[in-house]
Amino acid sequence: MNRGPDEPMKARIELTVNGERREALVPVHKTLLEVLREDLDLTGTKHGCELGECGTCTVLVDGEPVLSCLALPAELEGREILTVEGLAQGGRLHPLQRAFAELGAAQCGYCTPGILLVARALLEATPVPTREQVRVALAGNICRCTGYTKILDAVELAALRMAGRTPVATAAAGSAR
Amino acid sequence: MADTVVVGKSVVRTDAAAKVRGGAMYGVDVRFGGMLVGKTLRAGIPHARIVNLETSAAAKVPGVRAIVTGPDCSRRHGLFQKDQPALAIDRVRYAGEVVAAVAAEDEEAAQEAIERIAVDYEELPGVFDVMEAVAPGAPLIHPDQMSYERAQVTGLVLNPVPDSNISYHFKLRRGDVEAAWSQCDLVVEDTFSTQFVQYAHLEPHVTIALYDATGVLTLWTSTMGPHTVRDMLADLLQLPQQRVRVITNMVGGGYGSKMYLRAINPAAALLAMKVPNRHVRILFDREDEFLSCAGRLPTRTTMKTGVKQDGTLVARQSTIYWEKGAYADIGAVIVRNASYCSLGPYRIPNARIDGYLVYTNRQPGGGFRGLGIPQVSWAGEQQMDRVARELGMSPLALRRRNILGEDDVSVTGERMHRVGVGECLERVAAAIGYERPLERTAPSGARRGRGLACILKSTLTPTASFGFVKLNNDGSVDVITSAVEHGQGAHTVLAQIAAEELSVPLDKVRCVMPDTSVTPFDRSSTSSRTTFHMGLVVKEASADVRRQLLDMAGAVIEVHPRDLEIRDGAVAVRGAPDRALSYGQVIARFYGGPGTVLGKGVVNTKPLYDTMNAETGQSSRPSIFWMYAAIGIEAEVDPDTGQLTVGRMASAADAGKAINPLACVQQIDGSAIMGLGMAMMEEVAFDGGRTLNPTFLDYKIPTTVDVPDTDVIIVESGHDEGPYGAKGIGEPAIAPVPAALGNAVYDAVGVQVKDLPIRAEKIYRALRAKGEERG
Ligand code: FES
Ligand code: FES
Repeated sequence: MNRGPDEPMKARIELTVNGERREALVPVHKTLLEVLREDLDLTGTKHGCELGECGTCTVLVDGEPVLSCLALPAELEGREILTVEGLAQGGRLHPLQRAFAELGAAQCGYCTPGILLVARALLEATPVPTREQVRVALAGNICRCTGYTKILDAVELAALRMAGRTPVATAAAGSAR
Repeated sequence: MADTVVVGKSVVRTDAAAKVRGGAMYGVDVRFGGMLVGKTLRAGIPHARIVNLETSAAAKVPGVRAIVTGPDCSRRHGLFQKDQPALAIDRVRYAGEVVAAVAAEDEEAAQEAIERIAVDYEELPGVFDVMEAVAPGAPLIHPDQMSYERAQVTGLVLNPVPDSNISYHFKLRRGDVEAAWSQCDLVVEDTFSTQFVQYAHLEPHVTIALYDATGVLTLWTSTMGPHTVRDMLADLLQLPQQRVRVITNMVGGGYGSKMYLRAINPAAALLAMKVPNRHVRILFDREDEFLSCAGRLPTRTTMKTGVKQDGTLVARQSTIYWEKGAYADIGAVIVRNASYCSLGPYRIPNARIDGYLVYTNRQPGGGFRGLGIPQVSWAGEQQMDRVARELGMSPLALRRRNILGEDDVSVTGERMHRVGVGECLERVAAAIGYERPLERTAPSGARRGRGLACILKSTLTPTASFGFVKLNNDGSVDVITSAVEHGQGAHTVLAQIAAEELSVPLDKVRCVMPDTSVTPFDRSSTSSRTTFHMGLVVKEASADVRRQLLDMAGAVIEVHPRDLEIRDGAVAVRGAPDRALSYGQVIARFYGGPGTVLGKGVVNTKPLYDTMNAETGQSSRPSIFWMYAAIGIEAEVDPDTGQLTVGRMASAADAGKAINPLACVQQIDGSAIMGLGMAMMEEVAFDGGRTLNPTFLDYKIPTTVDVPDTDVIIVESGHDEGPYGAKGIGEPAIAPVPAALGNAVYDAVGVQVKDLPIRAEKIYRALRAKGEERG
C-alpha cells in the first residue's frame, strides 16, 4: 500500500480468538469478519451479505452468537471469540461437527460454520432442545442447499449424544426410505 | 449386477470433515499477496444510449491501477448468439449492466474511483413486460440481432424472428391438434404466470485474474463450468484456449447461477490484462448478486387441454412466453427443453407447443435448477387437477390413466424405458395418505387440503466429458476431472465409483479441483449431469487402470493377464491368493522404481442423440436420460385471511440407482424446499426495469421456521447406459412443488391461484371473488 495522506487510521488491537491472544494492526473501520479472514487467516468464517441479513458470518463472543460482519474488533478486546476453527478440541471434532458430517447436514458447506456456532450456543443454554427450539434458534441462518431437515436432525443428534443419551438410529441414511 | 462394496452405500461425504472444520477452501478464500481490489459500476438505468463515459477523474484517484470500459473489448459473447458485450458498449439494456470496472490498491481507492466515473445516458423507451415485448411496434432491444454471430450448441440453432424481440421460437407439432378438439368430451384453457426468482447462493461470485509474464491469463473463479468460462473468455479476448486457465475451488452453492461469463469474469480479465503480473480480485456483494447476475426466467403460459370422459388425454396446446431479459445466454435451451416437457410425463397423441424466448429490459434470467420445468409444470400440473375436477375424477386417477410407462411413446416420439415417474407419484401419494379421508378442518379453523404433482425433465444432450484416474506408487488414487463440487456431492460419488472399480478404500481416493490447464474438458457440472457423465468417465478410466495393472503384473510375475484378477486392492493370481502383489509392488517392479498408472475415460452422448426436428420438435432420443419426480403436499389455509401453511411434504425422485443414498436424500430434500420458496414466498419485485428488493431482508427465502417436516423417497428404476444404472438427481424435485402446493390450496378452499408465488393475499382475494360470485 502506498496511499500516503489518505491512508486510513489504523489501530493495534488485541483479541482472544479460540483461546489464543492474537494481535493485528488494522484500519479502525474494519469489521471482525474482515480481521478474522484477512489478518488472522481464519477463513472458516464465511460471509453471504456483509449486511447482517444471512447469519453466515456468525461467531460466538463470550458464548453468544454475533454477526461478525457487523462487529468492530476494537469493541471486543478482552472478550472470548470462538470461530469454527476453535470448535474441535485437540483434533477431536465437536459432537455437533460429527453429527453434521454423519447426517449430511453440510452440502456446499458454506453456511455450516455459522450454523454450527449458533447451535453450539443453543446447546450450552438448552442442552436437549425441542425441534421447535432448534428451529427458532437457527431462524437467522440461511441455508440454500439442505432444506434444513438434516441440520435440525444433526443438532438433535449432537444434543442427545452430549447429554449421554445415544439414540438408536444414527445410520447416515436415517430418513432415506 | 455383482455386489458392490462402496457404491450404493451412504458413506459420509468426502468433503464433510473439511467443511465442518471450516477448512474447506472456497473461491472467496483464495488470496494472493498484493492483490488489487476490483470493483464494477452498474448502469442503474434499464435502457439507454451511453452518450459519454468519462474516467479521467477516476484515474487520478491515488492507488488506481486500471480502468476498463466497453470499448476495451469490441467482441461479444453468448452461447447461441453473441449478443452480450464484456462491458456495455454504446447501449445499456438492463439496470444492473456493468459499464465500467476499476482495479486499485485497496477497497477505498477502488470505491472512490467508481464514484468518480461519470456517465451521460440518453434514456431509451424500455420494455419491461414480456407481452409488451412481443407486441407489434415494441421498441427493439437488439436492433442488430439478425447480424450477431451464432453458434450451435447441444444440437440447437437459434432462429430469431426479424424485427422483433424474439430470439428463438421452439415448435412442437404432433398429431393433429385442431382435429383432436372435436373428439374431446372436455376442453379447458387457462393462463398461468411465474415470477423472477433469485438463486440466493450464499457464496457470492468471486474472480481473481492474473495475466502473467508468459502471456497466460489465469482466473480463480467460483464457477460450475470452468471449461465453458475458458472457452467463452478465449473467444471473447481472442486468446488461445491454452492461454486462458480457469481454476475452481469448492463452490459455495450455485444452482445454475455460476455459469457462463456474467460481468465479473470479463471485467476481471480485462483489468488484469492492463496490469500484467498483478492479481485483480473482484468479489460481488449481495447487491451485485441481485442486480448484475441472473435468476429464473419468468413465464406466461396459455395452455389448453382436451380429454375424453374417461380421463384419457387427447390433446394439449400451449403457448409459452419466456422472458429472457437483456441477453440470450442459455435461454434457448431452457425454452426448448422445458417447452417439450410442458406436456408432462404423459401420453398425449396430439400436441402443439410454441415457446418464445423474448428480450426485455430487465435483468437476464439464466439456467436455474430445474431449467424451466417448475414454470411449465406450474401450468400443466394445475391444469391436470382442473381437468380431474371437471370430470369428477380423482387427480391421482387421472394421472394414473395417462402416465408414461414402459414402452410408451413420449410426446417427442421416443419409446420410453425404465420410467420411474409412476412409482414416484404412487409413493408420495401414499406418504401423505392422499387416498385416505382427511380431517378437513384443523383445530385452528383452517381448511386442510392435499395436492400432488409430477414431472419429467431432460438433461443437456449431446455433450462429451473426459477424465483420468491416476494410480500412485502407494496405491492411492487421484480422480482428475473438471467436475465441480458445489455442494451436490459430485466428488464423493466419483470417489465412490473409483474406489469400487479399483477395489481400494474410499479414503485412498481424492478428486482434484478443476484446472483447465490440467483437468480435461467437461462442459459443466450442471443439468444434473455429473453422476451420469463423469461417473461413466471415472468408471471407464478405472477399468483402463485395472487393465494396465493386470498387464504390468503379468509381465512382472510372468503369468498371462487372463489368469490374474484384481482383488482387495491387489493383483492376485487366480486360485493362488498367496501370489498377490499390491498395486505399489506392481508399479515398483514393473518400472524398477516409482511410476504411475494413468487411465483414461471418455463419454460422448452424440451417437445416442437424435437431433430434434426444428419444425416438429420430434426426436427419438432428445435426452440421454430422463429425470422423474413427484411431490405430495398437505397444507392448511385460513379461510378468513388466506394464510397458507404447509403441514407436510413428501418428495420422490428417480435416481436410476443411488450411488450414495444419503447424497440423494440431500439433493431431493434441498431441491424440494427450494421449490417451496419459489411456490410460497420468493419473488424479485420490479418497478419497470429496477429491482425493488435486492437484499436478503426484502427478498425472503425459506428459513428453519418456514419449512415443514419432509419425507424423502428415492426411486431406483435403473438406466441402461448409466454407471451402475445411475442418472441425475439434483434438480427434479424442485419442479413439481409449486403446482403441488397450488393443487393443495384448491383442495383446501376451492380457489386456484394462477400467478406465482402463492401468497396469502392472492388466496384471500380469490376467496373474496368467489364469495361475491356466489352472492
Ligand atoms: S455476512 Fe454477516 S449476516 Fe450475512
Ligand atoms: S449447505 Fe450450502 S448453504 Fe447450507
